[in-house]
Amino acid sequence: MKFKIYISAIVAGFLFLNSCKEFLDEPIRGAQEVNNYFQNEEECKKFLLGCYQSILQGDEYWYINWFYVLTESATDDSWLGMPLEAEQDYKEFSTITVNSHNTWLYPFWEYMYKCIYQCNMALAGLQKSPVNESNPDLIARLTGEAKFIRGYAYFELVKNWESLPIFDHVYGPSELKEVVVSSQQEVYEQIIQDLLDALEVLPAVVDSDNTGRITKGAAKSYLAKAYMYSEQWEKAYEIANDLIETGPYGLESLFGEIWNINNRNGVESIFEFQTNYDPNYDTGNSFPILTGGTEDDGGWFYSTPSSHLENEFLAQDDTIRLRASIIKATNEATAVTDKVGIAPVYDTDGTTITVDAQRIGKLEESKSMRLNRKFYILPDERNDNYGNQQRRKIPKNHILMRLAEVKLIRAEAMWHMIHTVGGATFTEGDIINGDIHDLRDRVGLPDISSTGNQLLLDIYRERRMELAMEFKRWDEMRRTRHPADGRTMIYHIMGPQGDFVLYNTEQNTDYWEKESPYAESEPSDKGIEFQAGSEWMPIPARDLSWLNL
Amino acid sequence: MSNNTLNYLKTINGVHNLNVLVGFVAEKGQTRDVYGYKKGIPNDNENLRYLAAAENDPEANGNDVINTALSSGLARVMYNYNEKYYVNFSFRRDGSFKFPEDERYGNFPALSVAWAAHNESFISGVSWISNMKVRAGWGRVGNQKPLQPNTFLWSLGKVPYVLGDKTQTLVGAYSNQFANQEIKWEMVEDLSAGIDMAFLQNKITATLEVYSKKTHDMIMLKEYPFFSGYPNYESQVWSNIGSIVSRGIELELGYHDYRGEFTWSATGNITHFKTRADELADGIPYLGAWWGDYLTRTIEGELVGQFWGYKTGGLFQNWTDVYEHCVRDEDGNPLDMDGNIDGPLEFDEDGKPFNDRELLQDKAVPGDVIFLDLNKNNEIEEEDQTFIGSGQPDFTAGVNLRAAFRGFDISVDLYAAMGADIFNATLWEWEWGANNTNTFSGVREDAWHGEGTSDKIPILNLNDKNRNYWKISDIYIDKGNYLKVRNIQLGYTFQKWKKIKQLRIYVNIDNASVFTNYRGFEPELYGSVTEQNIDWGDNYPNPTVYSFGINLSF
Repeated sequence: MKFKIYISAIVAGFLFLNSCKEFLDEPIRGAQEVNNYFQNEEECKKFLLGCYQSILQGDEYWYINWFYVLTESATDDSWLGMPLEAEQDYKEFSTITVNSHNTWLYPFWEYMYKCIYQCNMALAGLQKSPVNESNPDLIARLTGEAKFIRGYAYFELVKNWESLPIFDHVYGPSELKEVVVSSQQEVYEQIIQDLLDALEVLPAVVDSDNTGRITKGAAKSYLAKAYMYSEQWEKAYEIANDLIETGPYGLESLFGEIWNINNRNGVESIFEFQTNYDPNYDTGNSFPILTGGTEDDGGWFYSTPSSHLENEFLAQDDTIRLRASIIKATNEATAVTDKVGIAPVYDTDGTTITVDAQRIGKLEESKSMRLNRKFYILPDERNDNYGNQQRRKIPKNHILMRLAEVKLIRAEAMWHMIHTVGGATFTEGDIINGDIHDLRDRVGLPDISSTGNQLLLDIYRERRMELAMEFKRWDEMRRTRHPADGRTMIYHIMGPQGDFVLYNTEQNTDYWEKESPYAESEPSDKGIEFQAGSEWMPIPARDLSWLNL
Repeated sequence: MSNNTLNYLKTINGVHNLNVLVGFVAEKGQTRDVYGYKKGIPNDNENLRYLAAAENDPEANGNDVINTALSSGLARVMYNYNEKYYVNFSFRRDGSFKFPEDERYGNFPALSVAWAAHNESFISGVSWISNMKVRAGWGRVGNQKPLQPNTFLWSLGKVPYVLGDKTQTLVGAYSNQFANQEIKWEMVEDLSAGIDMAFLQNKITATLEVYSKKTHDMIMLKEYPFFSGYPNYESQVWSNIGSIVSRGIELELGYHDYRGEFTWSATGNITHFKTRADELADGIPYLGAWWGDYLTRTIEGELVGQFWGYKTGGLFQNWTDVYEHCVRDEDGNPLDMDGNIDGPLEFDEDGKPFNDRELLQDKAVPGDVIFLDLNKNNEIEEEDQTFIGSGQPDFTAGVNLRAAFRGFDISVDLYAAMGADIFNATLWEWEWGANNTNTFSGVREDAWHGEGTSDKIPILNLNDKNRNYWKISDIYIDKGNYLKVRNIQLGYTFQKWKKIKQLRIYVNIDNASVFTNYRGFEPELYGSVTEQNIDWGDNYPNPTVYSFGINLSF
């Protein structure tokens, strides 16, 4: 009898185990889950915040920002800086010889794809959200924002890689097995489609509680840029023109104001990455430290301006833009080994703050003793915590797109419609007296009078001076084509016969870059090793292994 | 935790012995932690080492809670007939919270049989056989221990961003984990057979065992490419990566002489086993040990965790060697940069050819490593990589020696592993000139410094444009054979004296010595099965420990 009781007790135990599924159900505590998220408006908006945050910065400087700093050092605008400490992998960037194992190559690729993943998650979640019933306009708009951010991320990738995979939804492991890379043309189609979709649903303006959200204008500006990069000149002109005429943007009257830390979301800013100082969160921008002064000044001084760029300004008498782009140590020094003099730093209204040049560059470690002015924060503009340790908390917004760039797009598109496409209803004079005039007049420069191929080269030059040190030169150097032979400008600038290399090896008489005792701390022939094909980044080794499996 | 079992023992007719066990176990656990952080304690004073004394960057990052839950039902039947024939059968049904609902439970049976042959009349009659047991077994065991909790859930993390003119920090959400909804129990299936024998009153002992152990649905971190966008750390997702099989054979022999004053014994064992990958998820090779490149590669049918890289052909001894390693047409003629057949080499006054030949390694100088173009496509690239070594030994062996004479006793334990390769990653630090570190002493003399001076260690150069050490190749592969004297102990036992029943003093040497040709610190390395025998330089050799002791009993 007892035996039977025991047996039934054990059988009951087995049954209990199998039926009591809840016993083994352990959800996550302290966090929500994606598949029961997006249930109300708040949650939908919160998930989009994650997508916004993944555009730039990241938890660590080397996720995204560092790539921009290193590629800037590969241009004719900048030197690498810090030659004694610079790693082999940094030098691969500055000499344009990046290989697929480079340590600083893959984070940018990785984090742009992480951004795309979050956008794809957002799109899937928004689609299934019950808010579609209660507030479809909000869902439409958030969908537009997610598509814009996805398009933005693919844009950053396609500007640097010749072929890359496209994901329009989150791929599971078995789908990943079948992944193939797409051509640049296919990627541009994907970007343009995303931007066109976003354009339809984004608002023209946002209220003061939402400053920083993506607007119609932002979508138009990136569309214009995408058309320009894929050489669809008519469409580039059309949308750039539409954006400029319908606004609501205007050129900042004082050029120096544009990048001032206190000028947030100014009249010229179309798409700006938002920051603040927060003791508890890393919501800042590390660029000012990465390109900033020396250790004494709290900075790392990488990617320092070149005399080649300075000469571009000087040849045009462009004092305003020169002072707003480059800080230079004067070499009216006494003993070169000890004091390196002072560096005048110009404030927006033209006043000069004199900074000890030791903060601008250490003689043996700075090729040019010059600094990026646009990201330099004046001592009295810094909060108490400024410095290397607080580099993730510097409240400097980053302008990703401003009106001047769109005007340059329109000018270039107009030139192509006159010369390449044909049938334009405007003339070169319209370019000279229009966009180019507006940009030059702002900084007190007279109009240009060139024509034909020279006009295009002058537009390129205007772009160089206008957007100097804003991390745009690397892209533009590889996109713009020389009108005489159709090759991209990097072939004319870099390589053994390139303008920049010949200038530095044969013509340069700059004191810091050529004559000071440490002038060769960074070799003057930077760029001589450039070879056809190296203007495109290789796919990072780890992902290449996967694609080759 | 609730642990309940019921055991039933019964002997029938004196020969049938039955032992039945059933039970179930259920367990729930919870770990909680609260986290606080602050910086800036004014000074080193002991009394200030508290959160309250710190001044900056307060973070009360709060609370982590993880709940665990496991439950199992088990049953076991052990039966033997007259202590000659043994049959054991067991069954387990395990459930774990770590798996999604439809994979939560696993069933794990096991069966083993044994035959105590020495109890058979026809064998017990044979005087020189003192023990003979034949056994065989098959069993399945479930494993979920390495798996982290919540890997199949789409968890969300918090991320800050700023919007609005008030520049307030807003907290948003993001997917912080790619969820693997197909994760399931790992199951280890063991099949083995063996025979234990002893002869001449246990003077000679012998055991032979063969086994095959298959791990199904192995739970490991699988690394996905970065373009997957998976937010997990390094895009690694806990997955069932496939199945691997370990097959081996082990032989143990012993001789024991316990008669007389001088007693001694010697036992030795030798094992040979190899682990191969049987099936991999989606057929995709498993790549492991990331070091700027994946060092190991596991493909279906091959040994697990083999090293993967370029094959090398020694060093370039002079410029002629560099120029002979070039692009060639089908007839073997060297080609120049325009694709035409290049003439014989013409040298300048420095001894360097000025032919415009298309070289396979155009940045190489004499003393650099020669990488082989295995697929003969006139390029040295990823497709030329292949298996270059395996960390699995061909056999391992151990010997235990014991002897005693009039109160003295001595024991020696030896261990050897032969046939394994070691990926010596420390060479990157200690043998490479382009690194900002010192080289091992002697490397300067051994490295290539002129024609014929070395075929193994490349030229020490500040700029390694040929990427001698950046490329993963067989220059990193060393032989990992070793013999270790693990332990020597020498003791003396005193005679019984008054109340002291026994007094023994001994001297013990642990890790007495190692015999090996390996260049690194320590040839005995650890690592997971997919990443074994890689010397990262953090495996300090086990120190030799001398100790002495006293055993006393009253």
